[in-house]
Amino acid sequence: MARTVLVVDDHAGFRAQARILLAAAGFDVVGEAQDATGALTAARTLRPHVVLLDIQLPDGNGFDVARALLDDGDPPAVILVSSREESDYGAQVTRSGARGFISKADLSAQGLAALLQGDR
Amino acid sequence: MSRLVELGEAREGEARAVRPSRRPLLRVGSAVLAVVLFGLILANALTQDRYRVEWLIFASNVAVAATTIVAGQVGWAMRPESRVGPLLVVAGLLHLGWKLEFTDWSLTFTLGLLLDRNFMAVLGHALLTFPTGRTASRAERALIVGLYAVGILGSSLIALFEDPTGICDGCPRNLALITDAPSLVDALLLTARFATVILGVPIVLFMMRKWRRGSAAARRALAPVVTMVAVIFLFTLLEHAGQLWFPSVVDATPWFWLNQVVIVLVPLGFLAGLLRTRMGRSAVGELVVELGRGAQPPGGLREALARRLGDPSLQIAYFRPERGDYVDERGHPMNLRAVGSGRAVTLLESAGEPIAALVHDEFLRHDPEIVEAVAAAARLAISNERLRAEVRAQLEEVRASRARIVEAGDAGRRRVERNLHDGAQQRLVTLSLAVGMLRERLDHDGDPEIVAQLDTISEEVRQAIEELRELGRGIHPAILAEEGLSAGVESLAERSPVPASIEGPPIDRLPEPVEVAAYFVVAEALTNVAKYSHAKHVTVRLSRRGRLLEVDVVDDGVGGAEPTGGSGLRGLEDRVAAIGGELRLESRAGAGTRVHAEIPCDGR
Repeated sequence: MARTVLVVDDHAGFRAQARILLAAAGFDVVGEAQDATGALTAARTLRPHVVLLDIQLPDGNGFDVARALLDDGDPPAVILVSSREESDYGAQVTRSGARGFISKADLSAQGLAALLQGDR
Repeated sequence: MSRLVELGEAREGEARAVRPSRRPLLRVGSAVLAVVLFGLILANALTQDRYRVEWLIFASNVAVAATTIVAGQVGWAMRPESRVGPLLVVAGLLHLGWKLEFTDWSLTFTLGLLLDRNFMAVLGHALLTFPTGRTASRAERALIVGLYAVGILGSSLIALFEDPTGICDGCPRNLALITDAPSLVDALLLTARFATVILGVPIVLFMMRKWRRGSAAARRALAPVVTMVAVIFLFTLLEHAGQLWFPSVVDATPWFWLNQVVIVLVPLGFLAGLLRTRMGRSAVGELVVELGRGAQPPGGLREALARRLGDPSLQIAYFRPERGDYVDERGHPMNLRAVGSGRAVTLLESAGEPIAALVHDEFLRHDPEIVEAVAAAARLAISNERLRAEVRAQLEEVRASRARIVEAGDAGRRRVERNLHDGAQQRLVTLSLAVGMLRERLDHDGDPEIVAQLDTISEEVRQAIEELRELGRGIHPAILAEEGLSAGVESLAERSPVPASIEGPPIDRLPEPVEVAAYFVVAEALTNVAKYSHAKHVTVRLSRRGRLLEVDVVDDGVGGAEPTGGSGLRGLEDRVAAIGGELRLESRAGAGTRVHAEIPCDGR
C-alpha cells in the first residue's frame, strides 16, 4: 500500500511541486494544508502516514504543530521542511519530536524514504 | 530677586509683611525726650533735699530706666524690623517719667504719680510679643490689653485717690487728686496684684509654647529672654522666702544692690535676644561653599538650607510652571497659603518667574538679610538643579530615541529577511524542485545536451538559494529570534572559518535588542578574526554579571587591530552604546585580540 502524505505549506508553488515529486515516487498525497490550523484538522481527519510540515506557517510554527500531532494517539511521522537550514533552528527540530528535517531545496523522494526507513 | 512675602494664614498680625520701621525722627525724638526727662529729674534731685536720704534708691531707679532706654535705642537701631526696641524705649521713658515723683513742681510730680509702674505693662507687652513686638493672635492681644488695664488700675487710678501730702512731708500737691480715699486705694492695689498673678500664668504658658514650637533659630533668640525671666522669677521667690525667714539678709544693702543688678538684666536680656535673631554672615558663606560643591543628593539642598538657617522644619516648595502650583521634593502638592501658624514663606524668583519657595520658621523673618542671602544661594542651587535635570531629561530623551532608532532598524532588517525568505527564496526553492523533476524525467531517454543544461541550471539555482540564505543570516539571523543568543552564537561558531569554541553555560533569553547587539558583536569579531588575525583558535564567552551581559571574543592571532581601522567595530560600538552598553577592543601587537562588550540586560 502506498504511503499517504499530507503536505503543509503556505506556498502553493511548493505544495504543487511536492505533490508531483512525491506522486512520481509512489507516495499517495492525500491532502494539502496551508496553515497550522488546517494542518491539524487535515491530519486528524485524513490520518496520513506522513506529514510534510513547513516550519514557518502564517498562523504559527511547524514545531508546535508537530508536538500537537505527536500528542495524538497513533501519530503520523512528521518531516519538517524549510527553505532555511536545520542549523538555523538550533535544537528546536530535535526537541519538536519530528522524525526528521529536509531542506526544501533538497527535497527528494529518496531523501524522504530514507528518513522513513524502518517505518511500517 | 527673591521677595520676602508672607502668605501664612490670613490672621491679622501674621498677614502683614515685615517692613523695617524707618523712623529715625521718632527714635531721635525719644532719645531727646529721655535726656530732657533725665536732666529735669537730676536737676530737681540735686536742688532739693526732700529725697536726700533715698539718694541710693533714686540713683539706681534712674540707672535702670536709663539702661532700658539705651537697650531699647540700640535694639531699635539694629533691628528696625522689630517693635521690641521701641517698646523698651517706651518702657524706659515711662520708668523715667515715674521718677518725676522726685521733682518739686506739682505738674511734673502729678505726672510721675499718674505714670507710676505703668512701664511694667509695656515690658510684659514686649515679653509676650518677643521678638517681633507684634501680636500674633487674638489671645495675645487680649492679654496685652489686660496688662495695660492692670497697669492703669494699679497705678494711675490710685493717683486719683491718694493724697501724698499726708504721708510725705514737703511733697508737692497732687493735681489729679479727686478725693483722699485710703480704703479705695487699698482695694485697687489688691485687685491689681490679684490680676497680675492671673495674667502671669498665661504669659508664662505663651512663652513656654513659643519655646517648645520654636526652631533652633527661634530658641537662639528666645534663650536670653527666657533666662532673664527665669532669673527674675527665682530672685523674687528668694526674696519672698528671705522676708519670711531671713529678714536681716533681705533688708541689707548688698541684697538691694543685687536686686538692682537683676532688674537691669531685664532690658539687657531683651537686647541680647533681639541681637541674636540674626545668624551672622558666616552661615551664608558656609552655605554657598556647601552648595558650590556640586549636585546635592535628593533632599540634600533642603537639609543644607535647614542646617544653615537653624530651622529643621524648613521645606522647599518647587514651582511647577505647567500647573502653576508648588510641590515638595516628593512631588506632593503644597499649599503655600496654609503653611500653619509660626511659618513664613519666602518666594524665590528668577527673571520674574517663580522657581521655588522656602517655607520656614517665622522667626527667620527677623533676619531678612540672611534669608535673602540664603534664598539667593538656594535660587542658584535650584536653578542649577533644574538645568541639570533638564540636561538629564534631554540626554535620556536622546538615549531613548537612539535605542528606538536601533530597534526600528532591527525591525526593518527583520522585515527584509522575512521578505527574502518568503519571496525570492521560496520561488527559487520551487524552481529548484521543478528543475530536479525535469532532470529526473529526462535522465534515461533525454537529449544529453538538455540534461547537462538542466544540471547547470540546477546548480545555479542551488547557489542562488545558498547565497540568499547567507544574505538573510547577515541581515537578521532567524535563529536568534527562534532560539536565542546562545544558539545563535553556537551557529556562528560552527560556521567560523577559524576553529571557535564556546565557554560557559548557555544563557537565558534576553530582550531582543540585547540579543541582536551581542550576536552582531560576536559575528563581526569572528569575521575580523578570520580576515585579519591569522589566529589558530578563537574563544567566545557569554556570561551574566548582575544586570550586565558580558561578551568576550578572544583569539590567539597577531593582534594590533585598530578600532577605527574599518573593522566594522565602530558601527558596533554605536549599536552597543545605543542600548547603554560598552564595547572595548584590546589588541596589542603579537598578543592576540580581545573584543569585550558589556550590555545592560534591561534592553532599553
